[in-house]
Amino acid sequence: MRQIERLAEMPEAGPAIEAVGIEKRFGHIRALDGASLAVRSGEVLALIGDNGAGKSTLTKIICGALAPDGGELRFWGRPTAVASIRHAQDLGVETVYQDLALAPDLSVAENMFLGREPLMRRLGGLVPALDRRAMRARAAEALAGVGISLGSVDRTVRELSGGQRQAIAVARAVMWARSAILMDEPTAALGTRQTAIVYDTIRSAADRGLAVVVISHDIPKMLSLADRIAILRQGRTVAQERAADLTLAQVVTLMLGGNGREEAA
Amino acid sequence: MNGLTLDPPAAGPGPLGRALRSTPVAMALVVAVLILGFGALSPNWAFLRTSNLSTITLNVSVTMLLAVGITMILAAGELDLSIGANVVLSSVVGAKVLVALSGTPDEVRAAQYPDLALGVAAGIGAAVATGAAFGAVNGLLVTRLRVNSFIVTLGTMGIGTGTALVLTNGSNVPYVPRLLQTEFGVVRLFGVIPYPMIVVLAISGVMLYVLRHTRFGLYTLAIGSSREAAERAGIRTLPHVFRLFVLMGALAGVAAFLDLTRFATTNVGGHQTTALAAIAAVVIGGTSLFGGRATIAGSMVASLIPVILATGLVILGVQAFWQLIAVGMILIAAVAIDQRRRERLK
Amino acid sequence: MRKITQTLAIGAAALALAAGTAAAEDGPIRIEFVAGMVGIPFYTTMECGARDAAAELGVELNWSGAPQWDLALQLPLLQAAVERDPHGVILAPTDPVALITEVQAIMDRGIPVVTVDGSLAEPVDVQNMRTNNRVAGGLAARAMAEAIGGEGTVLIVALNPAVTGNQDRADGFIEVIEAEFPGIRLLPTEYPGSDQNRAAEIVSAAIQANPDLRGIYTTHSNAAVGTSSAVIGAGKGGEIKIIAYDADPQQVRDLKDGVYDALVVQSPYLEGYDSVTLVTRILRGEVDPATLDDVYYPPMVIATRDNIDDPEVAAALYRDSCD
Ligand SMILES: Nc1ncnc2c1ncn2[C@@H]1O[C@H](COP(=O)(O)OP(=O)(O)O)[C@@H](O)[C@H]1O
Ligand SMILES: [Mg+2]
Repeated sequence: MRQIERLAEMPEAGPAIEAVGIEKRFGHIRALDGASLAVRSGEVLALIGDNGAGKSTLTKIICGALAPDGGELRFWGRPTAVASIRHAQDLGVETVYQDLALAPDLSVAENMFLGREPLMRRLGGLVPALDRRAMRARAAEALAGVGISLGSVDRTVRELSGGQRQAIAVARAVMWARSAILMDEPTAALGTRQTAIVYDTIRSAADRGLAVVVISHDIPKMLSLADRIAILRQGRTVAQERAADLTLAQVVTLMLGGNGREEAA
Repeated sequence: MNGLTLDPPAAGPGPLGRALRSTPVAMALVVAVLILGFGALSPNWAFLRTSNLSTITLNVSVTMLLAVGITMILAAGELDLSIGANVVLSSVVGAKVLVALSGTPDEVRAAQYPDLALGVAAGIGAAVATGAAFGAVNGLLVTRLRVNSFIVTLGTMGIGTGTALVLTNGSNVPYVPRLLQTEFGVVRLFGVIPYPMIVVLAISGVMLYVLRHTRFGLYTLAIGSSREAAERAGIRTLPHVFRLFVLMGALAGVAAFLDLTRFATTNVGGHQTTALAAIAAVVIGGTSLFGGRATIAGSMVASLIPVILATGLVILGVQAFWQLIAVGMILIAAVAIDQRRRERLK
Repeated sequence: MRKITQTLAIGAAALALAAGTAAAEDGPIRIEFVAGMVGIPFYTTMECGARDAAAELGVELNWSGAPQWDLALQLPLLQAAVERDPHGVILAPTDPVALITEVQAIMDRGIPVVTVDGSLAEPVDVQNMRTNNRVAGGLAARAMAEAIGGEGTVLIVALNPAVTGNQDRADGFIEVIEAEFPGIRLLPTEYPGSDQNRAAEIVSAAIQANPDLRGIYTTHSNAAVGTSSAVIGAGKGGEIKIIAYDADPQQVRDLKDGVYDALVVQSPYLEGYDSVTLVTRILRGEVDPATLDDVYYPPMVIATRDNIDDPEVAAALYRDSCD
């Protein structure tokens, strides 16, 4: 397939994450029908496609939230069946879900550590307990690191605005990511200033050596922010190009169909 | 660019503000007001006598224990209507094992229990194991068949009650040693704290710790708050829910044995409203019916209210039918006032 | 009108000689007895009475009953009993209304039906034999007066005022106390339902509020269990007298142990014995059903620690088995 050939031409080390010919059906709906992408460490890949193109489904398969019906995932070139979200987390992959996946009744700190809480031992090491002090401190630090201040990390998520919630989800992913971050429309609920913060965060995460996949409908911004663009149409990857080689018009045509494919080549 | 505040930092409520906002504290105030009120109204302050207050804690013990368990279940956004039936079934099995192992049929009929220690140990084990097994059935049905726990436990409530009736033919298990009652079930430490209450307080303390300070507790709340979010955080929610039902069942088994010691017999016709009473106490105490928010302390305090009301109204000589009316009105009033107060404080 | 009394049964063996009418032509008389339920001492005792009568009268008795008090379980048993073409039927109806048509249909086939324990809303049967709850309450009242020396405060722990049979036990008690024992003060009647814990709560509170509480009359066994737990828990065991209903082996033991001070003993043995006797005598033409009262109340006894070994009382206590 074309995009894979292109990847092979790349001079640097191989991609950190590669999805090849992924298929996924929901009943008789073919959500993914040969979707592929590849993203290297230190690189931002923008995943672009119309609503229903399968972008969220593809990220969920990469992060272990869904099992694919076909195709292959590779991490650092090694074929890997991602068995669970835990498994992806162990590979250093973090995700900002489109629906954020925050527990509204838990505090900000609890949400940021959910599933991976630091423990301490009480009563001479006999009784395990959540190390809430460490959770608070590190959560506040991580939030500050992405330029967010909430007053108190003990507030429950329910009390926060949509923008604040999205910021927490981003900060959580950045805090835990060791190799890659997948962000499904991370700026959807944000105003302009907050969006700018998130874009800065994305760039600096990549600069720290993480592989970043970001889904967004802000195509002009993606063309300037991302290193490369992957375009999904009806569950199939129709193009994967260096952002610098694409124009807005080309992206839109590829996204919506027509003869964009030949033009892009 | 760093340090952009998304929202003016809210002045986080101080310790006092938090306390005033908390339902457990409000319910503790209700309890205090009721106790003082009944004290003042009762002849010679009879209500305030240590013996009376001590008896109230004895009478509340089983409900309180079940309320603590239900708090965990509700915290996860589930429901267990079968706990009354579980208590009945577990006490029947516990009593049968206890009586069978304490002596030969002729010996126990003559109130001789040569192997009482063995019988009691096995009876406790059998009651708790039965309770846990009952809970495991609930848990399996909820997590495997994915049937709503309201429906599952409504069904197992009938199954449990029916099984207890089949095992006993509808009459209480006879020949339970009265020693259980006279040496434990109604006995008070230093004449004040009933033994069953000590068990309940110990277990409640552990559960309070589990809910507040352990991963198990946090995951319970996370699942109740958003199952999706818990799953995305890598929590295996179905096994967790299963374990919660087993835990609830085991607590019902403990409650069953406490019941057995208190009455020196089973209660096959009883506990029909126990589940509702426990759930009501939990919700009144500040736990959300829909999961995610839970307070064990609140459940414990709120479970006192109906017993205090029942006791106080009898002491005041209020006629039986009026007691029902008064209890209903006071409960609704307490919760309504609590809600207004919390809204005002926001 | 003539009452069938217990004494009729005594000469039953002799009467058997007088057989000669209706059913006796094709072998022995066959009677179907459909109990309200089986497996509890009350009905086991009734079965003992019925079997004793059958053995003495030389009739065949078939005893059946469901493990639970449930119309849906009893109905098929009754229908099966009728299928066996008995000469007579004895039924402990689990529902006062639903079984009327069934009983009527059996009667219409010329098979006499006697009902025991429960009763039907319409007297379509030959006769109903049951406990007179009002009289039982009165007996309990006199036992209470004796237990507490005719003076002091007494509490009634009943079931639910809507359950008429049980409420009669309370009303009969109140009537006699008010009429005969001016020294006894009755507290308002409490209704814990069948909840032991609620009964214990109520009694605990009543003990606190009434230092002069001398006696508690419970109209059903769950009330008795809750009451005794509360009394013992308050350290008032033996001091506050408790009167309970029924005489299961466990309750008899509790009476002997001083937990209860008197038991109102219903008469399941006589209900079994007398009903079989009556049906047999009707079938043998010795009794004209038209002359019978609608209801017959077999005599009851009050068991106390003093009289528990009297043969008449001992015979009335409930049993786990007939041997
Ligand atoms: N859980 C699901 N069950 C059924 N259909 C689904 C599910 N998730 C996604 N789909 C369908 O799969 C297709 C791709 O969805 P999605 O990946 O959310 O698209 P995008 O994120 O690109 O908008 C859509 O047609 C959507 O309706
Ligand atoms: Mg999407």
